[in-house]
Amino acid sequence: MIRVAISGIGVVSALGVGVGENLVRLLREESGIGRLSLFESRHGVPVGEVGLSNEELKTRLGIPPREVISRTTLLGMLAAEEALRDARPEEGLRVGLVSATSVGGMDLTERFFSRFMEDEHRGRLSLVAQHEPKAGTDRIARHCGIRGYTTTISTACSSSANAIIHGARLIEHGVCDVVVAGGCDSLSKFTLNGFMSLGILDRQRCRPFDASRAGLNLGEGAGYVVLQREKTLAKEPYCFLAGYANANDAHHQTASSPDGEGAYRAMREAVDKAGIITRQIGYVNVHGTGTPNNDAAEAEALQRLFGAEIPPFSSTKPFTGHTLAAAGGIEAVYTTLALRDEICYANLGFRQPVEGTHLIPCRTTERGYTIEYAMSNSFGFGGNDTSLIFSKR
Amino acid sequence: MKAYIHKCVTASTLEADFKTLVPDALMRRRMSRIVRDGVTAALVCSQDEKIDAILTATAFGCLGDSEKFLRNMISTGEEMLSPTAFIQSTFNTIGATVALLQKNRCYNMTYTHGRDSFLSALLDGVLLIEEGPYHEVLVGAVEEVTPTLSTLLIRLGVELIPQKGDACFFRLSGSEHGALARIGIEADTEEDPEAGIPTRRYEDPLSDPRELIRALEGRQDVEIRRNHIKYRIECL
Repeated sequence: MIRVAISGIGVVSALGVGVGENLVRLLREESGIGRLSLFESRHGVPVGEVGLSNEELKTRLGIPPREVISRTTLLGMLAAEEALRDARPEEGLRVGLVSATSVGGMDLTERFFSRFMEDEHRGRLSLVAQHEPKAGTDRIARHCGIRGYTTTISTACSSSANAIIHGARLIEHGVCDVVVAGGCDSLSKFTLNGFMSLGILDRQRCRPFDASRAGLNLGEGAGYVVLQREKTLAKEPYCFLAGYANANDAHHQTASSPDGEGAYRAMREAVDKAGIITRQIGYVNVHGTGTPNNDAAEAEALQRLFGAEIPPFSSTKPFTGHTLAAAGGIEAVYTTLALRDEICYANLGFRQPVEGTHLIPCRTTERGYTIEYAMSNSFGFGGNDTSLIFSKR
Repeated sequence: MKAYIHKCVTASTLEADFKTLVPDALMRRRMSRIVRDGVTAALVCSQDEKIDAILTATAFGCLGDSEKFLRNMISTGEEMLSPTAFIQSTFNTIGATVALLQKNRCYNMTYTHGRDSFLSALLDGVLLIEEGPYHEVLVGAVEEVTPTLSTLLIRLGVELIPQKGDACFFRLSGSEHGALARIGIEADTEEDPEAGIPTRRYEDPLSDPRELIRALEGRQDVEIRRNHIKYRIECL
């Protein structure tokens, strides 16, 4: 059986650039959520911004300031390059890239569109030429020197978790030896207004799995893991990808079914694929956006899956915000670290369990447990539900 | 690695009764062109088979709804926006709607890698069937052409502008019996140091599925080499 290891990780979020900065703030229980400063907007809601301007990101990446490039792609490049540098796969291995995004180049397109609406001959074409997701993925591949099979996935909030599934499959079937898998999304006016119109943004910092939760905070960032065939490893990996599953809720475009059926199926099938029983899972990084609907559905699904013995769990979205397509990738990195260092992150803001449940997440950072298996959930619009299981060995 | 192609359906050549396929009037009214095309082709392609995976490919996604929401946002100054267009603008809307209409909770994926989206979805389909227990897999490419897209492609200097969008869906199966063709996939076994930088030129994302349909209809074998994968389709 071909085993897929995680040999490298890379992340950028409201907690900072790089694994080091992110981990320090996670352990210090310091949220990265704050005021919107990236662009002008009527809506003053808390967001999880990466605290660097596009110019500063370009400087870090060694890109000329003149190059027109989507912020989504800049974030992706930073995290993907960190992950690949971390993994250092040997020469001659076939390295692919599976990247995910929901925003794509919309941060640039929305700037173009104001001009275009006044006059269809106006607006800088370079702003709209990168609208499609492929442009960003190819740019990331070029930056990182990845020359193998490359593709892009977009399934809303489960996107980068799905990228990891596809990457694993590519390795298991011998299409690639190494796959950099994950995703990126930046804050954009389009997305902010989209979520505002849905009425699911919280005007305060989000409180996942809390009875008083009132919505999510948007975030931005990028997270990638390097998946590698075990036989090609030249050094100890962080962990292994033991199981995964993708299911659809098939209930409603944006709302989850009350019994969390899609979420339950994704988790159940991931557990079965890992060949383990639920009691072996030592930590769950839940999707936990803080919306009344997601958390109720996910709570129900967790109870259905684990019964009375729900393992330590937390949502890290009060730290980063909901980073949309990047969430699966960022949280896969956090879950990898949780497994390696045996940490259960704090679920900031929790006070009372979700109505009708006794589910209590980790209130503070918990250490000292033995964690053999850890699960990470990502559930998206369109009912796209994905669950990943990582193992120490 | 291989699988079998049993059916192919193109929305533009179908005379499907949309009202029967989508009985909910409100849902029908909300659907953009691309979702209508995708859903119609997918549902007809499924026939009565139990579908184990729904794989959608789209380069530009739901342009109509994206633009609608963007225009509203700009013209109203971010006020009083209706969420409908935003909800329908996500790339995975087509695949999600198919799942919703079939009440199908199976594996559901959307590939958005430009002109190579369809081949990525096809690859995933073959891998799933090879692996099992996925047995019947829908693979579809969907695009829409809006006036804005045409305007921008002209401004970008593209010569062959697509006139309209379409949806091309294929049903892949693990069974050879009754198949139209066999599809075999081989990956490069070595890193290719000569691999070029992907082209920035515009290429019609529906050209690959259309080529495949032409080949199936003309009982012609076809081979495509792209992105380090060789796809070989042999008519049976």
